[in-house]
Amino acid sequence: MIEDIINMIFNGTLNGAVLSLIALGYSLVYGVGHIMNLAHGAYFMLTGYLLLWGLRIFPGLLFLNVIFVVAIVTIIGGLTYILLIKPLQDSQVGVVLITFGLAFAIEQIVLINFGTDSVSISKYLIFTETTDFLGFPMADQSIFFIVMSLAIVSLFALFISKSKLGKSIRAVSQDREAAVLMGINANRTLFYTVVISALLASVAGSLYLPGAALTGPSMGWSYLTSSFAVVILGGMGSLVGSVVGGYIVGFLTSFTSVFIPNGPSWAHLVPLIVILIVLIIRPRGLFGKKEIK
Amino acid sequence: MLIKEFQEKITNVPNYLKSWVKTFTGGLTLFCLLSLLILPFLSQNLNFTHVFLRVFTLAMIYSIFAASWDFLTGISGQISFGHAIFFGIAGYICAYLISYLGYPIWIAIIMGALGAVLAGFFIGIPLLRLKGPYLALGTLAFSLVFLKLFLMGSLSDIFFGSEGISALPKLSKDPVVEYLILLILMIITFICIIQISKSKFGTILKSIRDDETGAEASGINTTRFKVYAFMLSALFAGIAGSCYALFITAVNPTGNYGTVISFFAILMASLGGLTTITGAALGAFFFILVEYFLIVAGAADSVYLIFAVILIVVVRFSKQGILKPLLERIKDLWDVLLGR
Repeated sequence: MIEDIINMIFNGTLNGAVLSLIALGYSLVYGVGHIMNLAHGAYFMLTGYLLLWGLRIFPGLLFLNVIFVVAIVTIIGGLTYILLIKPLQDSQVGVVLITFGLAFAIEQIVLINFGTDSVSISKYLIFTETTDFLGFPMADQSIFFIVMSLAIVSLFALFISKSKLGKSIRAVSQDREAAVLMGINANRTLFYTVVISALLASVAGSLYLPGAALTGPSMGWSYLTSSFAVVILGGMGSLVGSVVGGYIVGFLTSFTSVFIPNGPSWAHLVPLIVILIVLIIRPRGLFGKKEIK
Repeated sequence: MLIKEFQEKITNVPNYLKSWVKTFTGGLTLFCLLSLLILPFLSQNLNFTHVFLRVFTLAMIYSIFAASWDFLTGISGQISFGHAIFFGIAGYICAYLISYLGYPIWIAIIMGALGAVLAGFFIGIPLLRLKGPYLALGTLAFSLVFLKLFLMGSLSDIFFGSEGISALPKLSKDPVVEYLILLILMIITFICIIQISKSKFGTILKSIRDDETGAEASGINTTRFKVYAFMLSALFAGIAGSCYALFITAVNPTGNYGTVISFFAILMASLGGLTTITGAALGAFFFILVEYFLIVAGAADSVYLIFAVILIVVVRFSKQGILKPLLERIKDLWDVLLGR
């Protein structure tokens, strides 16, 4: 029983750590530009597979590989903005369609190169041991990830509130026209926002995925759905909401896995049920507002 | 009142048809339909014909599906990325009724379509609070959940697991009959959808698409009409889904619920032009033929990738789809040739 509870708490925190990072980037882009980047989940998935590929070629240099992969995915994010999103800014249908197409294309590229089998990068971890806590083994890599995730979120909060770019981002998210009138280059700001969101997704991927399995190129979609649930729960455009929502959804998922019969099957449904319940009870979400706080 | 309107419409049909055929698009459509009609009888080599007929039949199934998507997204403005749900539910219900309960084929198809309509109702209601991209993601989430539900985990065993149901009967033993049945279904579907979009109901949906606040201010119950749009779209998607199940003679989670299927609907309708219903048929045929040629040319793995890139390029450079402007160029050429 105690084991189950610790299992649930640990996995819940782990899930929450991943989801909060992914949802943070996603919500950021939406809050600033009213753009839903459906390729966000694909960035995460792509990081994992690029890492796998890179590590197969250069096995020992984990750190360099991570930097390399994160750089690539961030550049892809930037390219997504320049080539695809910016020209279509006025049409919500268009942006959604084109990012869906992009996500699908990325999935296909990975599929062609890697097939559909589940793979694991855990051979290349730095932390390969597990710590025992009251009889429950916790992978060190996961603990490392949770710590890093919290650190990144804090860094990001600092960045948003203190730095010039962070303030520009907040300004554009609050009122784009007013920001432009104040001399902020909204276009450039939006570009940086998309780049940062891709950066967040790929950093999350490179820290988390070595400890988990890559379940197939279509795993990007489930992270996209979960991050959508998180963002709806937390409120679109609210960064605090994304983090808090991420942990809530993470805990709900692990609770379902552990304590409900046929758990893992029902756990897939958690994001959807969250979406439905939030929409029916409080569509605004927990912290929902138009601006970024 | 309604009966009188209907009677007037029926008596007007011959005149309407005559003037329609004289227009360029009308004539072209009629030409395409007639050539589709005589296609099975052109060649004596039955094996060759059958292969082509199967390809075209699949194209027609997809065109019904894409038209239903176009109706929901292009005419009613409700972006649906999870259209595979309706396709899959209808297929599964149809398969289940035939294999396990021994229903006759046509009843099963209708029940499958009705099941999809129910799904449209139940999905439409909660998701109606969402607009635009939120709705797109909401429908995507639903379709993913269905996919997972049927594919993995111990729950999926109730739903026939990852192998699904197989060994279903086909619509008819003879591919020619199958082809003709589907041709008729396709024509009926398109006439229905086009007439609906031209009717008062369709205009209401378009007004909801263009300006929902304005529509509400005019006294339209937007929620009710949005749900209707979902259900109607689901009906046709369900017909396509049931026919597909019978065409492939099996149903399984990835084949019927996969994101690929939703992608197909989006791709075909976008290729043909987002709000034109007929574009869906053009897109479907274009897709199927190109896919066939790509497979024959040996690039089977990259088919979806190529189409994803095509979708990106088309959406990026032309919201009208590529086939409609192409048709307009041809029309201009035709006019020039005729010296108008």
